Amino acid sequence: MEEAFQTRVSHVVFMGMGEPLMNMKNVVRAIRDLNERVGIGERHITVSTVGVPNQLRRLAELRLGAVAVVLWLAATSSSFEREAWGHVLHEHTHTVGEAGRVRRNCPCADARLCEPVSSGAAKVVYGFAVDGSAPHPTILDELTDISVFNEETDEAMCAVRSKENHPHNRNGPRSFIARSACICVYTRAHSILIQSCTHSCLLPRRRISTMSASM
Amino acid sequence: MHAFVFVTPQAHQHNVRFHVKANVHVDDLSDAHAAAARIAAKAHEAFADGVNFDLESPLADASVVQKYTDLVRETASLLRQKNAASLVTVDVPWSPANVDGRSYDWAGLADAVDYLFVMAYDMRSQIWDECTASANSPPAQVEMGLQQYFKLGIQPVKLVLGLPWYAYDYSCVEVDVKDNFCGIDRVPFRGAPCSDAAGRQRPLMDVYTILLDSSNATRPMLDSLLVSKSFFYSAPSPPSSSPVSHEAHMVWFDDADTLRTKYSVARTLDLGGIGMWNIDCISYSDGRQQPMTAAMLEALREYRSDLFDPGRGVRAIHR
Repeated sequence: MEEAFQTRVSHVVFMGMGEPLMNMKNVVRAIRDLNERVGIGERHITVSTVGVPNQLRRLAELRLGAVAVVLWLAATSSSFEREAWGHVLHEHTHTVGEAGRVRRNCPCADARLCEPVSSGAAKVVYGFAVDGSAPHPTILDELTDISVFNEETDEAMCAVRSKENHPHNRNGPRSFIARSACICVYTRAHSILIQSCTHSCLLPRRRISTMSASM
Repeated sequence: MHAFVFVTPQAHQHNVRFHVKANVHVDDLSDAHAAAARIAAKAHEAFADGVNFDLESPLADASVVQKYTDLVRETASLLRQKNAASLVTVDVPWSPANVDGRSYDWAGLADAVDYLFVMAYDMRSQIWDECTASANSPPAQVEMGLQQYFKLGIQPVKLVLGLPWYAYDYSCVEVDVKDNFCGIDRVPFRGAPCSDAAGRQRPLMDVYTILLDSSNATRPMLDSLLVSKSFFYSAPSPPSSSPVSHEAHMVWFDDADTLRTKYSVARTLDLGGIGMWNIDCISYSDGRQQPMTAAMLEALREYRSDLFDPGRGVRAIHR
């Protein structure tokens, strides 16, 4: 894939190839290969599953570093089923979560914005913010650190990590935008267009409907 | 079923670290171990690069003081297990000398974390002499506080000089504009008969709004000894205090000029950096305040440009 697209693959999501947990042996082998041979960090590997209780437990017990598990609850599931999944997920979170491996999905438009930042700055310019909303990009230009004194921090976090994407800064400097790739696979099942991406590089709704019409 | 693959470029993250506050209360110190786990979990869930501790209460005795240090140390250790580059900071008063009754284990805290954020403001929180309005952050006193931290064996690079981006607006019970005098109400604080609690903290943008809109505001004057600015204005009294219809106010504030001098203290003493409470105090949208906001940002830029290694510092990233 890296050869075909002339770009580095940084994230992998197991999805769209049948239920990965029903193919446990090969999936686990692939995760280990991707991690050890290709060099994709376990934090960047996600297994998307409909949830197979025993297999989920097994995956948790393997303690595959930070591999995240995304569990899809079908909208049509009965409340009984949802409750049952809730128990399984809780158990999984408990097993893996002890080491802090499983947490909620990144709330930002681009999941990479949730990754830790290394500043490289010799000294800090440390600003407090009391407003949990997106700080203005002109102040972000001058800071190395921002501490948000507000319990609602997601909006600020995503904006702090993504100055170039900030609505106030559409005409801002572009020179430091890495041209890393986001790979999406689009499949059509019945009348629904399914989008599976290496990370959350979702297209604008309009573009998806155009594609949907052409498929 | 059809399928295809396509590639789209994405913006890279930029290099400002994001931190959350630790939310510690004195009660939490009874089980420091549990509190550390809770704080580390909160930071992890918030996708934060670090945590800031801001306990500002007096602690009962040496064992509680020790528990606070333990809590901070354990939290830092939990965060670093997940991400070795996690940044942990603790807010400390302008001086280690029992300010507002706070006598923590300053050297122990400094050892446990990356930086102590020195809150070099609210320096009239305990007024022991005349009850008057005065400067929030006079640099001679700031430097004295910093020197006291050094004497405890704390390295200058461990200290971040935190400065105010807000003003104090005092109602004067007695006023002499020519003499720059404003007597204030006696509002005691932790043993002192008077305090800056008699005044109201206001963001810098409010100060500029008063200066731009008030017909009776005096011209701001720089006190060169206190390196702070002040002016008077009058405003309607609160309804409860009738029959007086107007009362005099004195505002003490820092702006780009005074902050520039204070940032240079951090440079001269080779501190670990500078900081501010808080970035939401200036206006990023009011066109009338645009020159003042630009000057505030420029003062930060000057501090940085003198310090950062162009090869690897923020200049290299943002410019």
